[in-house]
Amino acid sequence: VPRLAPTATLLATLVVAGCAAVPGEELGTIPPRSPVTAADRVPDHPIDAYDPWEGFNREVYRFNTEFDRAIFLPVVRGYEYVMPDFAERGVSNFFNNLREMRNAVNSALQLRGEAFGTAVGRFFINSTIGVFGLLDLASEFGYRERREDFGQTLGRWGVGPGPYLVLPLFGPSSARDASGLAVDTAMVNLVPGIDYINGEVYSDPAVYGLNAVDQRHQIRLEYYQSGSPFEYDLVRFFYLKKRELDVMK
Amino acid sequence: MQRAVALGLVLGLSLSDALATEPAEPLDALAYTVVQTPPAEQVPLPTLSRDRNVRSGLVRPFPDRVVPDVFWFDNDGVRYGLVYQNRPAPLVVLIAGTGGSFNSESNRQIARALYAAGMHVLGLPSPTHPNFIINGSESGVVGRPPDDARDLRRVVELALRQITDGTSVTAVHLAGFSLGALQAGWLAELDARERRIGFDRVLMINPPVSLSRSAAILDDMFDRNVDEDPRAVAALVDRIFRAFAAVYSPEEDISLDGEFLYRAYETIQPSDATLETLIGIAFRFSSTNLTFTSDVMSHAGYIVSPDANLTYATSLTDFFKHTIRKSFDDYIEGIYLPHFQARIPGFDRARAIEEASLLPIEGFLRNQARVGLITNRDDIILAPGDLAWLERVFGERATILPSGGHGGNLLRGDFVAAVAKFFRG
Repeated sequence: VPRLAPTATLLATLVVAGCAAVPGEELGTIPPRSPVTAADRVPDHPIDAYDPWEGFNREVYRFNTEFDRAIFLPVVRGYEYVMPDFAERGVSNFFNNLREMRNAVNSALQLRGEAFGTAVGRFFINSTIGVFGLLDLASEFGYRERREDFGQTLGRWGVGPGPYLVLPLFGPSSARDASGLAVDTAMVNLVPGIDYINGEVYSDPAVYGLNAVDQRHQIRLEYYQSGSPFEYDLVRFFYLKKRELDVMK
Repeated sequence: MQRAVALGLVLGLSLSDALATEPAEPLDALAYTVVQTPPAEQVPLPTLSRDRNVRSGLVRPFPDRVVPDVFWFDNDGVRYGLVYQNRPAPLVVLIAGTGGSFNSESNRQIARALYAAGMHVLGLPSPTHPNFIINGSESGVVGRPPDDARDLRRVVELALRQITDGTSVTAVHLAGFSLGALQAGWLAELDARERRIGFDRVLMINPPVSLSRSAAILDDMFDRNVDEDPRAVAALVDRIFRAFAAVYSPEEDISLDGEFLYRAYETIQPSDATLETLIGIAFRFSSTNLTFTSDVMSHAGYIVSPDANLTYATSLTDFFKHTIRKSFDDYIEGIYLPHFQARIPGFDRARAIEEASLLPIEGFLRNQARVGLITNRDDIILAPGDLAWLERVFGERATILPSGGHGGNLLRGDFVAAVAKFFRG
């Protein structure tokens, strides 16, 4: 029987001020034969990250894993079973096309002309001859999506990632990128034109559900596919490095 | 994960390697091992899909076991995958290689060849994979072939009972890759003596002859190429990501499939030292997971205090830093030997090394007409003399392919044909 970490625990942890995780080597009374020593804790060790909320983060990582396994993935698998592959691709293209508005706004805010042109061009090509975005013809013409979000925009203007943060349901993030996500979400409801299109698309709440299912469908990874007890650390490392690259580009 | 690590490293470590201007030469053993079967050498094989021909399941050999909270993510049983035909067919039990899960890359590739040959396939994790150490190993200390064989037999019996509910199985065969092949040999020998499952044919794919000799080859690739000082590792990782940034483009969704890996290889043409580093690091990741998991599960008190109660919220970062510096041989010295010395009179290092090999079951392997071998002339895990030993012992039942390194030809025509011939012929 799949177990879900009770949301109450999660919220309780949120409120508890001290979220730091206890390092495992401080636990137990019998000293191990080959203990962690100062030689392991060198400054700037590659696996280290600024993670003052680690206890909370590990708790949310667990919640996300269990939610994914018990609810999200089974729904997505059902969707994949029912839908023909070409229809799945159409749905993905459709939502990815809407994301071009976010890409365009953030490219503009970063003063990246080429990326802005790509986003706008893709949106018009795919929305018109691509039949409301169901086909990604722009990629066929060699214009691949260039993802830009507000977290990257902040990074572009010198804002560091801040503390690492695992968001419920959304997964690995940082203080900066989580704020960015909030801004991006607000933006589509505030920018004239974009708010209209979004209002039309999301007039039925079921569309939110389909969007969520499609997003999960597009990610081929599963929690603990690595099998490693150190997956939290490895994911944190890869996430932060990847975002560093996203901002640099 | 290993593939992601490998990819990042191929791109990154190769800063020192000149970017290629000429077409790539035929792959050598190290390159085969890293990039696996190149697209041009692959034969068409059916794909595996949950919609069509794959399902997975769990078995619990120790239903009363209380799994430490730190392993909350993997505490509900040994995970297996079943690739099924829609008609009665023979079934092949397939054991993954070192550190591999039931759906490791090599298991998936071999399963496609077996499926194409008309078999059901029951994919199992390696006993060295954390999922198996936590849920399938009686002692929590793995790698000793007689014990691994008993642990595996328990899992196979339970899984077969679940499977035969919905799938019609006409015969049960056994296969294993790499360390899984050595374990398959031992499991077959055990089952021939005690007659519980009754394997029909047994195929050993790229086995080591001696676990310690092969592990030493891989440990050595790490030691020779990666500095002991974590700060040197930090510099290495930084170099990797700087190079990665030069190649990576946000427009491209990086899918870690074989084709991308091969394209990266073709572009960069990494040196042998780079390839050795990649293989060494992949092996080191496996043994890091193995050492930590085994330490906690068996209360060995090696790196983790034996009475520490680690939970899901405990920080393991410093344990990772410490354990990544431990080789496979450190696992043997720090956990394996103390464990078995306390339980088996006269057990010592020499005996452990002699035992963790194919030598104790040589007589069985020589005389069993239904046990076969496929390996490669250039398999990197074979030490000098090992190939000759295998050819001597298996005689006509040995298929020695000309190239492929370790696992670099599992989708190639000659390998696929040899697999089909063994189980059908």
